[in-house]
Amino acid sequence: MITVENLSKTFGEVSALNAVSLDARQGEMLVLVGPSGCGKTTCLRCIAGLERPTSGRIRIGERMITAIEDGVFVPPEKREIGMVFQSYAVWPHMTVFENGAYPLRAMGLRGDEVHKRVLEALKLVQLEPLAERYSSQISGGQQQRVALARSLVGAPKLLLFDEPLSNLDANLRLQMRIEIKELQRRLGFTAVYVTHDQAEAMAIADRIAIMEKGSLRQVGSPRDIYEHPANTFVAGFMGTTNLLQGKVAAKDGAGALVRTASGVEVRVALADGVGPGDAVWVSIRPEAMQIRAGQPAGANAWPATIRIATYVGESIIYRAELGGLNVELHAPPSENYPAGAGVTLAADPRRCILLRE
Amino acid sequence: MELAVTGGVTLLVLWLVFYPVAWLGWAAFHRGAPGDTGSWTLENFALLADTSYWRLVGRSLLAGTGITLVATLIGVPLAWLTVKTDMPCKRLVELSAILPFFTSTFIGGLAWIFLGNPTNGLLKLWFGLPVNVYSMSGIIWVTGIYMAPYMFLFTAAALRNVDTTYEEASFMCGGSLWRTLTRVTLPLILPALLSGMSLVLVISMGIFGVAAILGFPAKIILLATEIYAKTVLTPPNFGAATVCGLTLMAITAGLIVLQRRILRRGSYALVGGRGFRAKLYPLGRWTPLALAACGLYALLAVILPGLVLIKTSLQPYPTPKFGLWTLDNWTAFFEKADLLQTLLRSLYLSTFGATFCVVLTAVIAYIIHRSNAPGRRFLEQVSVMPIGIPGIVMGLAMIWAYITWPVWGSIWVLIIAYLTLFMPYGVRALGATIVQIHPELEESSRVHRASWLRTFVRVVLPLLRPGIYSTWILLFIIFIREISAAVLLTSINTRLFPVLIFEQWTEGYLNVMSAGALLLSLIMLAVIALFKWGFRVDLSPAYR
Repeated sequence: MITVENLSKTFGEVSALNAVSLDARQGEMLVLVGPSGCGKTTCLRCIAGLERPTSGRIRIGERMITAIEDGVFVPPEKREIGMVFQSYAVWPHMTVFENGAYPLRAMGLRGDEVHKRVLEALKLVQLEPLAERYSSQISGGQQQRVALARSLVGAPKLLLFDEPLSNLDANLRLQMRIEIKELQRRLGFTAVYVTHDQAEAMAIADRIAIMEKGSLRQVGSPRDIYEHPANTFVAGFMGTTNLLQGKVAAKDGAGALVRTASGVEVRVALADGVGPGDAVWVSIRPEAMQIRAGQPAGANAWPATIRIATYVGESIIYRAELGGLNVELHAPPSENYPAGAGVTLAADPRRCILLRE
Repeated sequence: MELAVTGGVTLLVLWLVFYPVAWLGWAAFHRGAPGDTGSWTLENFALLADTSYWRLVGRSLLAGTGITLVATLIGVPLAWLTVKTDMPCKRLVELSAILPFFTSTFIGGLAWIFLGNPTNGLLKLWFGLPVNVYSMSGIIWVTGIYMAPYMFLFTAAALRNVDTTYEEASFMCGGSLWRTLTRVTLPLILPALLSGMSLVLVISMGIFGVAAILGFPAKIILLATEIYAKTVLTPPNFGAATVCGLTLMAITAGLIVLQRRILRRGSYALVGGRGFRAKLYPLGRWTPLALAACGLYALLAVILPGLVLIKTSLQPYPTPKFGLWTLDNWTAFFEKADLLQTLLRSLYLSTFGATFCVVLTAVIAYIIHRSNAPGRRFLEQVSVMPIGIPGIVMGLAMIWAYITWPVWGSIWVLIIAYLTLFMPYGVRALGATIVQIHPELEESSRVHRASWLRTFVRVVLPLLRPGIYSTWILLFIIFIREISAAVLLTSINTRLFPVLIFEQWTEGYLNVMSAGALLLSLIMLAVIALFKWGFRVDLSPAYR
């Protein structure tokens, strides 16, 4: 539905996007996520036409909207898109209704048609009763809904979201997250959604594209990305993880054995494309580690010392020292060990992920 | 499109600023008068070997420094009282501190002639105060009290940006009020304060009106008045005037460079992380004293001068007595054949000039803050340069530059001069408004199917409107009261109202002059009132 090919953008000397290629299928919610300055907003603004890329192509359906090499650059207003901005950008000199009617009037529609469609859009976001209010008379969450209605009203081919929830308070953010997801299911629109919040990305995405320093690092479903990160950056950015650096000590049919500099040995189940002696990382999620009393026995069980135990209600977060490294693990609250206790940590080799970079 | 507009505007601004200034530089090295210049020479600079010339320069610097100090000592405490304490009647105090800003040092100076002249000044005859405004200290005092509003506005803006928690943290650490003020508040606003002071110094150095009416009788000549004397009084000496002009401009331009450096170096991150809570310092038993100080300022800067002008304009000659009431001055004024013409001309110039200036500076400010055009930083720097050009120097430069042009002798020379001189005010005020419009408001319009033009008309212009109105009024007021550039550029056919008032003073018709000064003040107040209450325009963007 939307295809981005080799998109690059430089600001003076600084390269904000390096040959990024992406696509989102019809009815799909594609989330661009990454730390600030990773190029995700630049990418979105290039799709919107608010920024002119240095090179690359963008198509919506079959229509080419940007092809710098061929001199094609369709201005934003001709791209038939809707966009929700971080600051909401609800025009303060217009009422809620007028904000909603703006795209329709710019399209040349008048009278009853406009009235009908604006009210329909306002109904979708439960704002019909506030149609005659000005933005100064409604709350931040309501402004967010106005922005959403305005982006939907022109029946755009594509919806863009630029960190739409980052100015809302925590509770409202969770609620709006679900509402946007439900609206998308119901109306079936295609969307590209930018956020820096990995939890939000996981919750709202059909597919996630992770960016770092202007380049794409991995694209996949939330589950894919969490359970099979492509590299240490993705593993560390999406959720919390423990990264153990080491070398492949042995490889066999059941995976490989990785040994860290301090001598900790970790067995991993999947070890394609690496051979003995290769420098690698092993990523173990905090919830993939079990904690128990007593001496370690068998593979992937290591002696460790609890440093700090933090009770957070649904679980206890332990920070422990394992072979000279600090690791974090999440255990059920029933497993109670004090700081300083000697314990055994264990992890299933299938949940110890080998990373090459 | 963007490039063409930026290029065109930059060329226009370069022309406006540098064409007259370049002529001034050229003229310094040539014999003869404007329009009739002779051969190349260095003899104009012989002046520089004269010790009396350096005494003149020193005297001007002394006056400027004194004025700045008076303005600071009045403006800063007033600002602190209104912004940071729980003093009552704040709006009234703020009004009396801003009102002189919206009127004129020149009119204030005229009124002070009656209050403080050494023979029959009212302060002497009524209160026995031995004051003499026809002196250096007179010039410093009178100009200082009318420059105080600038310091008030600069300081108040800076103080509003100081998060109260910084001060509360000082109190929590056991700091007294005095310690907090001198160790926390003052250092935080120091860059803004110093930058404001250098701007006030620049403006004071270029002031002509007060320096002339208080200086000439006592034979105290400053650079600004020397330029006037050498240009207008016979026999004219354009070479000497030009050298004086260049000296004055070198000083003011140097101060502007200094001010830029202060601002760049000292831009503290004043805004605290969290929301502001306007916790006000309780004055307690000091309240009456604070109010009395504010009242004294209002009395000296606004009330007494206003009343004395009213009184004098209704009497046949300057007198401390009441009585002899007459409307002769007013009728004399209105019977003068060219009065109405002069008044209309001034209104015409101010209306059109302010409009041109708003249009030009709106485009400049928009390019500076909202375009990616290369050269927009350069445009910004050039467009605010005239801040460092005193009005009277600009007047002199305009004579050299435009005397052979067909526009010479028409009102357009004055419009061009004013446009150039006051461009920085427009760029600042409109820039401040544009910066407040979130760019996403425009982008959202583009994305939602509106063209560039539709976006400008439907979104940018409506959001800019309050700023445009208030900037227009500010410029209108500045244009209609301006005298420094006008004294050198007006002829019989292009005489402006402030110049007419000045001529009444030269000819000694002090009571008629009072009527004129009052009339000018009333016009300005009427325009402000009309916009503020008639059109509900918020004037604060223009001066904040």
